[in-house]
Amino acid sequence: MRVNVRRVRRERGLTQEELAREVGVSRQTIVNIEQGRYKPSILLALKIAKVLDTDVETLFKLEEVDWR
Amino acid sequence: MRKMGVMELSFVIVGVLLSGLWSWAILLCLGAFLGVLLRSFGVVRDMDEREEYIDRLATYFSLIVTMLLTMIFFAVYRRPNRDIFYAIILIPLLVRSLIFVIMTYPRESFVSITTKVYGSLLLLFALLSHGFSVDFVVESLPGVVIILMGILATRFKKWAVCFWVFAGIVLYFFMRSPIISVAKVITMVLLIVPLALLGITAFTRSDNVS
Repeated sequence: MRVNVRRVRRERGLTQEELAREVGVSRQTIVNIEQGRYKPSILLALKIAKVLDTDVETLFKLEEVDWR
Repeated sequence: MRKMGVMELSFVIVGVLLSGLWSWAILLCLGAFLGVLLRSFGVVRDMDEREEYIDRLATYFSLIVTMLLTMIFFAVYRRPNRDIFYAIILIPLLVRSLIFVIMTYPRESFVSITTKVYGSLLLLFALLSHGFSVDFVVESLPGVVIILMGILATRFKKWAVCFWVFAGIVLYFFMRSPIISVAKVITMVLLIVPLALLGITAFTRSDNVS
């Protein structure tokens, strides 16, 4: 899965800390999501998308390897 | 704020009642439910979904460790004794806490939290054993050194070597005597495992902040 959270967050001018506070998680959780080490729940993904004013598919894209 | 569940509350009440008969019961309950208690009173913030996931994972690993320890101790010693029981309580609690902290927090926080808790526990043991005396000052030195090493290792990576040196010294002192007992194994695990983990973690790179 390709994660674009960092790119979109930077485009919106938000820090990890600010995004974390907005969606109600720790900064470390945002770090792990951005690095692809943690896959968020649907609820959290929707919250991140709402805060970043975009849709979930822009933030998280399925790749060929995910179907195997 | 997370509310304490009926089951968790029942365990704590039973623990408090049992502590009259057996003082370890309250420690066992605190070890297992301290986090939940602190969250219930708003002292610590609620866990987010990733932390809850790690908490479950750490619990699963500690269950495996409990089963392994039980099998090993009972295979070797056949008859259970008090020390074996303490080992089966303490070592999984240590494993659970270390897995949770190492997976949840970044490098600096892990080193800082672990050294402070670890050093404070050693200070507390020294204080409870000797009160305010010269012996307390001597026995509290390892605790103070660990806290200082934690402060230095969070700032300068190279200081992480000190954790390995310290673990080596502890291991050397335990290996000097050839007699192996459960109490010795517990003390070794409780002292060396956190030091070794601190040594590894303090060398790793920290996550980017932006």
